[in-house]
Amino acid sequence: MLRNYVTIALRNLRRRMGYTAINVLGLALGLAGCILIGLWVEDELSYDDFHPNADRTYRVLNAFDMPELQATIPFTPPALQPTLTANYPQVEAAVRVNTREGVVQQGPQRGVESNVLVADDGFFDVFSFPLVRGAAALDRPGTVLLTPALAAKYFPGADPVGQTLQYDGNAWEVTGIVEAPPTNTHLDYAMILSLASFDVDASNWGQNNWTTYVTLQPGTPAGAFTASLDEIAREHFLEGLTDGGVVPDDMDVDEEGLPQRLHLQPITGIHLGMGSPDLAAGSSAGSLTYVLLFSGLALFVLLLAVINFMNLSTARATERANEVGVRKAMGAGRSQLAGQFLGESVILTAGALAVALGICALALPAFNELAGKSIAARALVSGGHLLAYAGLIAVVGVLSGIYPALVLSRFAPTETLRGTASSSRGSGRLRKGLVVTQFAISIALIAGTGVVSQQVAYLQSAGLGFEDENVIVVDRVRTIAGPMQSVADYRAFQDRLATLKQEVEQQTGVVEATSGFSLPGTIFINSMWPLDRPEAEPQNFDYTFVGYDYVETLDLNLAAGRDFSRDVARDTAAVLLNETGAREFGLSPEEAVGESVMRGDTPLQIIGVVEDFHYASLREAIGPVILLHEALRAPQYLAVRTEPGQTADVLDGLRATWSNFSDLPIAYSFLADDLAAQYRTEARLEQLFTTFAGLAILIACLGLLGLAAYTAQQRTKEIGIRKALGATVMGIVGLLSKDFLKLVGIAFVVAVPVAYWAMQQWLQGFAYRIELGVGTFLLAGGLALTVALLTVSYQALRAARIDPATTLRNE
Amino acid sequence: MIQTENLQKAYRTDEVETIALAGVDLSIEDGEFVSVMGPSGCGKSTLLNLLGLLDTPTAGIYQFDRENVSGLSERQRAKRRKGAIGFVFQSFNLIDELTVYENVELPLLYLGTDRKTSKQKVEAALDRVKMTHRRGHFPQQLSGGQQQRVAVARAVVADPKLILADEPTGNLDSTNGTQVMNLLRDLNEAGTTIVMVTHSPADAEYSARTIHLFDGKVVSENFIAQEYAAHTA
Repeated sequence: MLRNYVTIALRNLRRRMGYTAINVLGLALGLAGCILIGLWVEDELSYDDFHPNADRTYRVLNAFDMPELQATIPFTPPALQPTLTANYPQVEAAVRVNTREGVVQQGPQRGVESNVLVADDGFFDVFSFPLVRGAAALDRPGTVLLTPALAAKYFPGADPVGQTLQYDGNAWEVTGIVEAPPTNTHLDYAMILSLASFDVDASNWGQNNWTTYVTLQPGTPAGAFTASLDEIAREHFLEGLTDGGVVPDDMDVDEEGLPQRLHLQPITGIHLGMGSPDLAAGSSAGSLTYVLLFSGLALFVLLLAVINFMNLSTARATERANEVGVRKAMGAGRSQLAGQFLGESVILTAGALAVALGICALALPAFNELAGKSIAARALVSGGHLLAYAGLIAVVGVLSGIYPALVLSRFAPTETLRGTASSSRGSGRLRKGLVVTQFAISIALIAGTGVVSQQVAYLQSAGLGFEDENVIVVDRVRTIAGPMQSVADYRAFQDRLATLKQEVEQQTGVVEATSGFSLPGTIFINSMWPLDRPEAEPQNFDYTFVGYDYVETLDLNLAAGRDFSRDVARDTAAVLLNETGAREFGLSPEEAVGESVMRGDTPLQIIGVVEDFHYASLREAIGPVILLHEALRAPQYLAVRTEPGQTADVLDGLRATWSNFSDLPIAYSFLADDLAAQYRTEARLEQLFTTFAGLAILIACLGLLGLAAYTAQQRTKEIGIRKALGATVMGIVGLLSKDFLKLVGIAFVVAVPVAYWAMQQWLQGFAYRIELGVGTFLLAGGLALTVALLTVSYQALRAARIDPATTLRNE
Repeated sequence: MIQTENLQKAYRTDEVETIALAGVDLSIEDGEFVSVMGPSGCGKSTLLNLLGLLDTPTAGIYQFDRENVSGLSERQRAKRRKGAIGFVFQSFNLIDELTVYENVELPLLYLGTDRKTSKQKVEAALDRVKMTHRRGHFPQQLSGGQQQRVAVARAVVADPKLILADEPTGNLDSTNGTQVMNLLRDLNEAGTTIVMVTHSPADAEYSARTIHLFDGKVVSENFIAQEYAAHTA
């Protein structure tokens, strides 16, 4: 019996090649989209799950719940790890790590390495990154593990194990080679230094500068460990907070809760920011929202393809009515027939899946580019995935075949054998409903694409309050001098920096140069700042340290006062505010100038107020800002404004000048690019949206093409009669197209409110955003209508141009 | 074999009710060959559908093989139909996607006959209608007469007690038509009961008895006495 079904299914599909092609192609496109997104989602969800103890390994989060500070950070005091290891038997292993950046030298090879991890001895008890060669000796001071890439960089052609290299002026013994971290881990490293090499105060509970990971004993749920963590917080944090006057001495923590607590975040949740709703935005690289969004997109695209299948199958149901009648007369039961048709749709789905895998393999490089992944093609056919495909075939096959199977198996043999059966009016209505659904999804996706791309364009072109074009940013300016261990070292560095700036400014094409601890788009520090007035309430400010000519180089506008001046010696103890900052103190820009803010016990005079500028991304509102003089903290960046069109020449000169100051290669970027990179997620979202909206409309049109062909075929006689009676070709095209276009119209009405609401929600995530107008939605509807019209009228035109004599004779 | 009492069938749409059969009393014995004649729309095909258990009567009693089958569900009717009743249609109704062999095999598949027995029966049926040499062909590759012979083979392959033929020669030229009628006569002579709807008086002459329907009622019965006597003897 099964053989008979398979035989007839294959012969049926072969005989109606056009139908099969449309169905298989549509389904394959839908499945391919679904598989690609599935791989992406799988990769996003797989972060750090490869460690054997992943299910009981956690990152310790430090949560502050105080009136002036509500924050959760992944940094903990250095004393936490020794306490956990010594006093808590539930802890199997605990390890501290932090990441730094420094100069590495080995013979003639010299470079700056970021992602230098410092880790406790227990690192490999908690994490399972494999050692390629040698051994880890993280318990010993002065040892380092290199990744193969760094080994090759600093020891070209030689075995580094047992040799030494210089890091930040000290000698380190390479004890082993550790494999580079896979792409799906939140922890990045190029080399690992032993923490034992550093003078870390194991009794320090006041500084939060280490990330602590713990692996609990098997069978210890994280929840059960909360009490222990609270015990630590009560014992070690509370005292410091009351002593520092941050919380009152008589605070009733049982009533009000602890002002500072420790939480465990599963390491598998770190990438997507799961397991800690309060963790500061931007601290996780992934986004659960986007994972959900794209999973939804994948299902939508698949749904469109399934709908095509249902539509085309029920549309041509009448063609198979006779077969149903014969089989029933021969004694076939309804369930046997339904099983047969379901089987056919499963076979077709299997074929479509094979095609889909081909499409995936071809599209994978482009998709990786689009999604920022490096998924290998062999992942497509790995064991677990094959099982998933079998499931997918079964689900999609049954889903798309169930309705046609029910319709077809319901036909009464008395009618089908006489040739009077037709798919009922009900299924026609359902077909229309499904077409409406398809186009509603397509229109919503097109409109979504429009809104996202408008917002991204807005983000990239919005008035920033400064001029981001033609600014070259040089990173790591601190490396022009040796380690700064004394005031004299710092003075020497400052002098060298001043000389560097002077030399740069003398180059043709350079307008101005400045330096700073932060530039727009990089991190500003956050703290409480009071005015120098009795009883002044401290206010929360973002602040950074800047050099001379910061205002002019970035093209900031002064609202009142003046910029730092080399001619006024006390300006090194002065500050600038932004307008929001002045407002925060309840002052106008003019009133603010002349006042002072307190830094500890030192008053710093406000000499100027700049107009607000976007120093963070446009997702966030502009906050109050204090710009301090870089005499108080060494700058990280040198910013050089060039004449338009002179960038390339200036860069050549800059490289030459830099080489006189540092033997490290120059690390530079362009401010405009750095700022645009802040919106990489949105830009990626735009590209993915565009791709999937395109895919959706393509699948919907494939379905429409098939349906239009069948309708035209069913109405062949009518077309012949109308033409014989004098109807024009255009009249016929209009007649056949009208019904479909009406459906697209209904889809538009359904889609717009939903899409409008969804995009409005998305835009809420931006402090600065476009106004949602109807234009985008009208355009999306218009586009869908045009594409549908072209699709349908192609079929209609073909049908309308057939000689009526032919069609009537055929009948 | 067949016994009907006041068998009625009405078709209802939203507004109109059409009476197709207005009370038919009929008795057909095992081994009979009965023709049903009458003008278009008199209810011939409806009667055949009811006798073939493809449809249910609105009222009246139908006893098939001494069992009252008037009120059976679709599933039960499908079960009774299987193997017991063979059909031959005017338009052959072969499945285009199946070969001659596979078409003939179909009733056996639904009966769950094992492959070996099935093969023997199909070969025997094809041999009976002289279509063995075309077993691998598809219906479109055959002439109308050949298609109808395949349909006859399909109707007899499961050795049914009853064959219902709905204008079996309607789409055939006279030569092919005669061949098919000869086949039916041979089957009947071998003991199979046959009920045949026809417009053709010539075809009706192959049967022992002809029932005339008009407006959903039996209006007359002609016996071909000699043949009848021969069969009932």
